[in-house]
Amino acid sequence: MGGRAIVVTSGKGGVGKTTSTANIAVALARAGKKVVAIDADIGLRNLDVVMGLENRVVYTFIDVIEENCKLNQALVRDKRVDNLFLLPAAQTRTKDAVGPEQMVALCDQLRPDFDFILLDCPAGIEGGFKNASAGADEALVVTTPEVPSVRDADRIIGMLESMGKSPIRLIINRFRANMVQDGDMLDQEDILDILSVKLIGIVPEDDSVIKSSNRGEPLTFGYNSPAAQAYSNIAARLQGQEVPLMKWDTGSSWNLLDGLRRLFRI
Amino acid sequence: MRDNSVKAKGRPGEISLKGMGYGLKMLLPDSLPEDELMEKLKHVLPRTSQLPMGEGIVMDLGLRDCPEELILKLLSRVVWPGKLRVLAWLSSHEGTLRRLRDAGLSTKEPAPPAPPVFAPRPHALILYQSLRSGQRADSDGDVVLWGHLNAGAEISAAGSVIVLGRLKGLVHAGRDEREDAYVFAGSFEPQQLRVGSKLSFSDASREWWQKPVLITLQDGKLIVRETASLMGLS
Repeated sequence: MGGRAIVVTSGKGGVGKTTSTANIAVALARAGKKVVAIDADIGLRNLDVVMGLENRVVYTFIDVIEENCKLNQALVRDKRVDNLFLLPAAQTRTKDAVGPEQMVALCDQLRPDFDFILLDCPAGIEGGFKNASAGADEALVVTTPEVPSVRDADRIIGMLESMGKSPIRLIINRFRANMVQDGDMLDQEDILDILSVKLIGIVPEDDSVIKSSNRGEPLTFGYNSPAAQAYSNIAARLQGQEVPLMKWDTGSSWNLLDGLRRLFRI
Repeated sequence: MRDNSVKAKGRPGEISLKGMGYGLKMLLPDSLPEDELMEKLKHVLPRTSQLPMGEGIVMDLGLRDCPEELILKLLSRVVWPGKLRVLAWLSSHEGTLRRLRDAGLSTKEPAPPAPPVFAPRPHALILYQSLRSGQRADSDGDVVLWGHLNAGAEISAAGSVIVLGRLKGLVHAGRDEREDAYVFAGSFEPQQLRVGSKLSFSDASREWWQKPVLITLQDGKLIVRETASLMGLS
C-alpha cells in the first residue's frame, strides 16, 4: 500500500486548481507528510511558478516517461519545507505526449516513496483530464460559486464517477459571504444540492492568494490569511482529521475582522 | 313482410352468410331447388352490396351438382350485378369442382390473414440515480429517473419522461412526434422542454417554476398542470 494519488480538477479553467494544489501540497508537507505535486497540465505549466520553483526545473515528467532521465532527477525538492517535491510538466510539448497508461505507471512508481501524490489537472474534459485522472485514486473537484463553474464541476464529477474515482470531494473556492448573503451568489447548500458530493472545504475570496501566486509562495507556508487557514483545514481533513468548517461572516464584518487582525498583527 | 332468407347462422334450406378471417362465406344449401335458390339469392344481393369496400366473398356450393348453366346463372345474376369480389368457389362435389376449375374460377379457400402483430412496447428505462451535466439517457420507451436531471444533462425518449427530482436539464419526450407522451417533474426548473414536435422555453417567472408539474400535449399546445392540484393536495 503506497501513497494516495489525488487529482485536483474542475472542468472549467481559472477556478483555482493550481493554487489549491500548491497550497494543499505545502500544508500536507508542513504537517509532516511526504508530498509530490505533479503538474499534469502539459504545455501550459504553472504549478512551478505558483510554488516558486520555476528556476529549478531541469527535467519534466515527460523526460521520465521517455526515459531521458531518472525519476529522482526530475523531482524538484522544495528547500523551504521538508518532504515537498514538484514533478514539473513540459512546457514545449502538448497533452498528446503522454497516455493514461504512462500516467498510471508514473503514479505507481511514486507511490512507495510518498504519502500524497497531488495531480494538478488541466482544464477541460479531453485527453489532459483523462491522463491526469488515470493515475489517481481520489479526486478533489474545485468550483467557484458561479453557475457555469458548478455545471462544469457536475460534468467532471460524472466523469470521475464513471472512472471509479473515490472519494470525490469538493472545494468551493473564492467564496464571498457578503454576496451570498445578498443573494447574488450560490451558497454552499445550493452547490452541494446540485453536485451531491462531500464538501472538504470552502476557501474565501482573498487578495492574498493573488499576491502569493505572483510571489511563488503558497499561503500555507505560514501566511495568516483566511484562504491560508482554509487550505490548511482542507489538508487536515485529507489526513482524516475532524476540522469544522469555518464560519463566514458577511463582507462588512469580514473586513472589520481583517482590519483588527492586521492592526494587532495576528 | 320482412325477408329473413339470409341468416347470420345458416339454417337448413336457407342461404347463410358467415364471417371468415378473409371476408364472408356464402353458403348455398344443397336442398334448395335451383329456381328457389336463384329467387332467394335476389334478396341476398342488397345485403352483399352493403359489404365494406373491397371485402371479398367465397361462394360455397356444398354438395350440389352444379351444371355449367347454373354456374353461369350465378355469375350473371348474382356476382356480376352485385359487383361481388369472389375470392373462391368451394364445392364438395367432384363434378362441380371440376367444372368450376374448367371455367377458370379459383376453388382454393383463401387462408385467413395472419393475426396482426403488435410490436412489443419497449420497457421503461428506470434510472436510480441523478444525471449529471453531460450525461444522457436515451430510450425507445418511457424513462423514469429516480433522481435529479441536472443542468446540461439530457433525456430523450420515444415515450414519456418522469423525473422524480429536479428537472433542470433538457427533456424530449415523444421524440418521434408522439402526441400522447407526457413529462412529469418533481420540481420543474428547465430552460427548455420538448414534447412531440413542440418546443417550449421556460424561466423562473412562471408560476409553476420549482413545483411538481405534469406537462402534456393537447391540440398542439403544451399544457402544464401543477400535480399538487391534480392530486387534490393543498
